[in-house]
Amino acid sequence: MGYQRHVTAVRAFFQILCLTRWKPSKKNNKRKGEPVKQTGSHSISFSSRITIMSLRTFTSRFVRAYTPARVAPFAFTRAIATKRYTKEHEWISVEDNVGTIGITDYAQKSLGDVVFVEIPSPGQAIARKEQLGAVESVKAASDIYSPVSGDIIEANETLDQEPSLINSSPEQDGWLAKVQLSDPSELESLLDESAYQAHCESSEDH
Amino acid sequence: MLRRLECLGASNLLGKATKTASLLCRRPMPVFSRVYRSYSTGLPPTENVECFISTHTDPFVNLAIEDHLFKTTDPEKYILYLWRNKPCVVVGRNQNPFKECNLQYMEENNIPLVRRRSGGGTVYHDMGNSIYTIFMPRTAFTRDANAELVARALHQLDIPAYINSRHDIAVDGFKVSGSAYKLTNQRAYHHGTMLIDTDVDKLRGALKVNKDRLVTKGVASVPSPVTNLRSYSYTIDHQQFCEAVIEEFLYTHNDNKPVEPTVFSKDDISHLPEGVIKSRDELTSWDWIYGQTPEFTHDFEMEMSWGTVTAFIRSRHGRVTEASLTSTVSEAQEVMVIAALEEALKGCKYSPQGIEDARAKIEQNIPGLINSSNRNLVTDLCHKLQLTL
Repeated sequence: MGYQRHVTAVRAFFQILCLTRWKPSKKNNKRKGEPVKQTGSHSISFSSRITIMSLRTFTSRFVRAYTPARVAPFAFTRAIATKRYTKEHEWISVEDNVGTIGITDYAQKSLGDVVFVEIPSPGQAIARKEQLGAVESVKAASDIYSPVSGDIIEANETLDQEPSLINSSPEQDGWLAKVQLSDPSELESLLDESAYQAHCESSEDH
Repeated sequence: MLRRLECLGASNLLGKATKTASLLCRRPMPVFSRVYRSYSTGLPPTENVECFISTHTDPFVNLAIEDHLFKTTDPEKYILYLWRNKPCVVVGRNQNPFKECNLQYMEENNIPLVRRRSGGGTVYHDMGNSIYTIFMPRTAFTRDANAELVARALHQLDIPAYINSRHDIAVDGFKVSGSAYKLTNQRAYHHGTMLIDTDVDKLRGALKVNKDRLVTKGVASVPSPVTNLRSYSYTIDHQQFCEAVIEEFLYTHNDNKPVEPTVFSKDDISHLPEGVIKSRDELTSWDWIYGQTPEFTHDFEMEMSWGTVTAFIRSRHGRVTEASLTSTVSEAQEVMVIAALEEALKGCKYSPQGIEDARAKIEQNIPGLINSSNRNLVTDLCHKLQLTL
């Protein structure tokens, strides 16, 4: 919603900018800022029309009743997927009881260039804190653990071809596996974004 | 120096079995009072470090002990484990042994293939190669700290070792030690080799491979020129190396307070804990050694007396998933049998045994396909495939 208002304000600004190039018509003899009452018998000059348009756009910021058609507000879109983190630097994004799991940007930085990823096989059950897969980097072979319990329904096979996705896009394309949650309440014990950021800041990097 | 002489003197009284152990520790230590059993049921250690030595030479047992220590000891402690193996080739967790080592040479020279659990590249082990493993808490992990510790231990033996840009220990521009690392939730380990007096010819023979057309997703080794410490010291050996490392380890992590190492004795194999036996069984299984090979493809040509065969094989988990054999022969019988072999290879292991299995499959499922007119061709082709794989 804030974004919409921003666009509206910018549009209004540019329209007013255009307006200043036009001399107000002597016919209307109105002052800027005053709403103009339109009557059918008068023909309104071009510059007046611009004034009217820009004023409407400008005032729409303040007149809640006049709101342009808008897409679903930003807050609503964000609520669909819940993202949580673990202290071991894994993330899980849950949508419709299916969690997509991967490692965070902090983790991939400390691992170094990833050369190989062991992805799990779909169809098996996994318990919380059980090993989900592993990542081998130039630095070390590191095990990755599942933040939740459930059934593995999909593994990211692209990582077979492109293990470097973990470095370039750890929290988007470099996801490791998708798990059907068996106990959604486990998510509550995980960290939210701000708690995770605080955890990262307090840990030392190695 | 005096301490070591004392140890030597005492060991003569205790017998040969304890010689190795007593040379390695500060005070002479009877081995039989320190069998593994005492590790699990004995008094809880009060130190914040522990030292272990293995006199086993079976690489699978030593790796299993390492794995067991990693899982069962206190994650907050620093633990040192020293061992060495009889001749073998050890590949990293995610490597392709077909690309990394010369399996035929190894077969001829009775050198087994081992896959370890940590990452990294391929190494050749023998009794002139000592191995150290240091376990530490995950938060304390760095690649260089332990390598520097071992380098300092070598300085005590008057060897000018340093850490190079690849975090390896080197002397005079040559690598003397390779390292691999593993990280889990709470702890990490760093293990590395130390070339004291390795048979370099066997090393080169086992690790020299020229298969450019084998394309693998596995981790590739980075070859480096190596040298033995023997070139820099006439007296250095496994015992000296172990003593120096223990001393430096205790100095760094235990304020120089002495700690008696626990010995896993070769003579006492029946007393190994269950976890070690289980781990060893897993490490020796085909499914682990070959079945963990990442997917790869291999295309090659074979020049035979009767024609040329171009082969393309795709393999996953150590088995053939796709095979294609195109030949220049035109005889119907020959073309048919080559097509049958192509089909039979699917599902077979990617190994000389697998080729034999494929041939047996044809003889079993389509008896009479291999007859007197194409038997020689089949034998030739199978033999050549076994050599080229």
